[in-house]
Amino acid sequence: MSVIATKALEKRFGRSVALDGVDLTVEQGEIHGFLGPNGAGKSTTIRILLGLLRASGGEATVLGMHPWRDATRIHERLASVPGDVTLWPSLTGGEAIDVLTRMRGQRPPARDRARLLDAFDLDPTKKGKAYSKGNRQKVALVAAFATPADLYVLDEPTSGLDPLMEEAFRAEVRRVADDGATVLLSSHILSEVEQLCSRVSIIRAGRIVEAGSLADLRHLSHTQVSWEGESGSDAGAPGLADVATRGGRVVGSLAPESVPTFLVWAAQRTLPGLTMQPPSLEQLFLRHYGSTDAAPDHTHGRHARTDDPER
Amino acid sequence: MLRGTGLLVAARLRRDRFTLILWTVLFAGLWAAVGAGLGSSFDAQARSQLVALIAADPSLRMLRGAPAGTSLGAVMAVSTLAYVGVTIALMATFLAVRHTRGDEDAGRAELVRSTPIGRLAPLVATAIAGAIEVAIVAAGLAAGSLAIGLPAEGSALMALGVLLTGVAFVLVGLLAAQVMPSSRGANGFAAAIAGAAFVVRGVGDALADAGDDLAHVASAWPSWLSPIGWITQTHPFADPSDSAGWAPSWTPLALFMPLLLVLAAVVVALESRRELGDSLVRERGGRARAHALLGTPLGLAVRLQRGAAIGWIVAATVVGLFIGRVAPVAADAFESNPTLLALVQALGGTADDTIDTFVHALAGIVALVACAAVLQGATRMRSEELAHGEQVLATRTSRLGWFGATLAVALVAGVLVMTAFAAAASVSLASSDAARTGTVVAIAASMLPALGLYLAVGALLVAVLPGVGAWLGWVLLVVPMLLGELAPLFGDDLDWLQDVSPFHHLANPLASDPDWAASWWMLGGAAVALGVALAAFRRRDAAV
Repeated sequence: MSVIATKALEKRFGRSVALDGVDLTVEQGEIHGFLGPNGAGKSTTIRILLGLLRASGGEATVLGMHPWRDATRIHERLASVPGDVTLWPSLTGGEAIDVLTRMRGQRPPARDRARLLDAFDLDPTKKGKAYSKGNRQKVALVAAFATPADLYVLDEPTSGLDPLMEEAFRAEVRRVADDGATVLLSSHILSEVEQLCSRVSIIRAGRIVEAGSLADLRHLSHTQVSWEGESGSDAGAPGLADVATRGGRVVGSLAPESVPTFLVWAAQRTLPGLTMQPPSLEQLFLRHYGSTDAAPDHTHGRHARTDDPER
Repeated sequence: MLRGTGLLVAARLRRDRFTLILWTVLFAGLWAAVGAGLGSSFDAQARSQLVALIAADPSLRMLRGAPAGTSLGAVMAVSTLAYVGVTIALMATFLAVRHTRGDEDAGRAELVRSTPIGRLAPLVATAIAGAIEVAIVAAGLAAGSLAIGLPAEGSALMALGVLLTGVAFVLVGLLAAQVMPSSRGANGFAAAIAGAAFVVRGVGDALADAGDDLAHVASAWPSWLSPIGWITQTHPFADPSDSAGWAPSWTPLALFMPLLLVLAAVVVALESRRELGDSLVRERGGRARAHALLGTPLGLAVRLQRGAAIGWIVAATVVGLFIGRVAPVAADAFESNPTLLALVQALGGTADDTIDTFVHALAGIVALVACAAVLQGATRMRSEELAHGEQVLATRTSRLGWFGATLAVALVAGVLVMTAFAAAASVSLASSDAARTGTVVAIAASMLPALGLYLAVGALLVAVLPGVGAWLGWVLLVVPMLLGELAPLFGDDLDWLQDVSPFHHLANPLASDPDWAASWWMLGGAAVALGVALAAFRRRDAAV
């Protein structure tokens, strides 16, 4: 059974539509990347899954339960990190960590907590107000990873972290996944998702526009080809699309089914410095959010919120 | 150092324009309304009776002021000028903190400082904008005063006093913003200074010798230690032609000059060496592990609300101790003067025992403080939800558990305020050979339904109107209280205004046959409203 399953999930705020039929499936034990630009509906989806918001339509289950009605029972088995962490100004970071883990019903072993504080290089004795953005984020991360849970819901958890800390974060995500937990990781840092996630869902203007394993998605996407040469040296290349010449190189892209015939064609001539790159997540992403269609798609009757539903 | 000051002054005035209009209308309107009401419903004889009452009673002098004549202006001055002073002081301190420490807390100051403006520009701009706003309010007050036909000199004198007090407290606010590490702390620190200025003035007026005149009372020395005392010492509406020969005096305002110079020098000196976001009182580190009780919604609510609650409880204790010292003195003054005794009973004194009447009057003020504590605690849920809802509500903490714990702690804080008052008053009355613990407890208990009412008001605001700020709660607390308090001054036609104040409906245990029905209805209504609020909070989207 899926750990998270939504079907045609909708959320309206007044007249604006934040979610317009989200179908999201996260299977047991996977690290699932949840990608999308600002305002696409990532946080709104996650808040519905956490029972903070009530869906306007559609269905959702988390750990087989209803996210609104069974919120507290779900939360006993879940740990989460919001994208924008606010700490209590009068509580220290260490106190905030204990408050959050105890409110999850857990008393994590002291050595786990100490190990995490060390891994994230966090001073737990400072008052909440004294922490920088990255350190506030670390407080929430320590509180989440100190909690043994079946499901971790992480909403852009690494915003404000430096690269060393991002590495510590990836190590923790792998650790909990190795222990059998499921992770939903919302992000727009593609390299992070590429390194961690086995499957991804891409949301745009309140809809999932692409979902599958990274391998599947790559298969669907185009391979980038380039070699040193003048324009015209691609004459007759089978299946090559989007051809252009930049900096003395011919560049183009190939649909997956055109790759074999292109290779046969390429083998029959000299193409100096030929490179072929599998599609990166970035290209997948840009294909869905490229500058030409980054604007909200009003022609289909969808309305992206003009204010920022992330907040 | 000052580059860009003009721009920042304009930005501050623009940001404050609506609140400024509100303050101006409030000051001028209330002043004119009180004057019009007093003028139409109190003739000269009634005014001298009212003044005699205040003159003879130290607790009334503490709350109102020392009388300086029986003219219409003088009666208005003695009954409201100290409140005008403390209100302008609070307005000025909040204004100063909002534009300095508040901006630093919010991160706006960092943006502004990264532009080529002078180091002192934000501070000086706040002082200038504050002075302009205070001057506008003072001018409105003078206009209101002239409109009801009060003397021009007195109106100008009073306006200048209010202006100087406002400027002094703008500087106090600027100082507080540099001393305290957060705007919440700075507002509390500055408000405590404003409250202390009011109380010190009150102590000086209470300690004064009432004399035989019963129309003019010379304040004792503590009044001269307080800027609010300096305004009242100008006696703006004293009439030189009456028997005592007191005249309006501009000289007390000269005391503002050294105060303003010292404050300005300290504020500028501190700001010149202070780093952005720094404060004299540093945020200290704390425990690495949370206390064992700090892991439940209740433990968290106690921890978050205890600081404010302790402040309210200390204030109530001070008032309770004060009453024990002053009430017997006041009672003596009354009992040796049968005319006054008759007067206080005619003016609604329901008890034969004047000490009981004082206790009841002050308990009403303390109940207002307790309601403020309850309302503050309840509406705190709103900022908690905004800031931490996403984290707390993703734990197994239920909405009802979280909201319920916050409301319970708020109510307990309010009850503790009343308890502290009752205990302090009982002990201090007993030590003055006027023990009456049972009565004091009954009086304090009779106020509790109002606490329940304001708990429900705060809860409904959080649950049903989360988009509206907590200010609506304060309006619902202060405006009915003010109207209820002032209604007797407006004349008989407007007596119904008294009914707007919930305190007016509470049973008075001093009455021979107290009517408890309204108190029970208030409690029942509050309970129903609380239920509605809890249900609504459970059903609505979290405001995150």
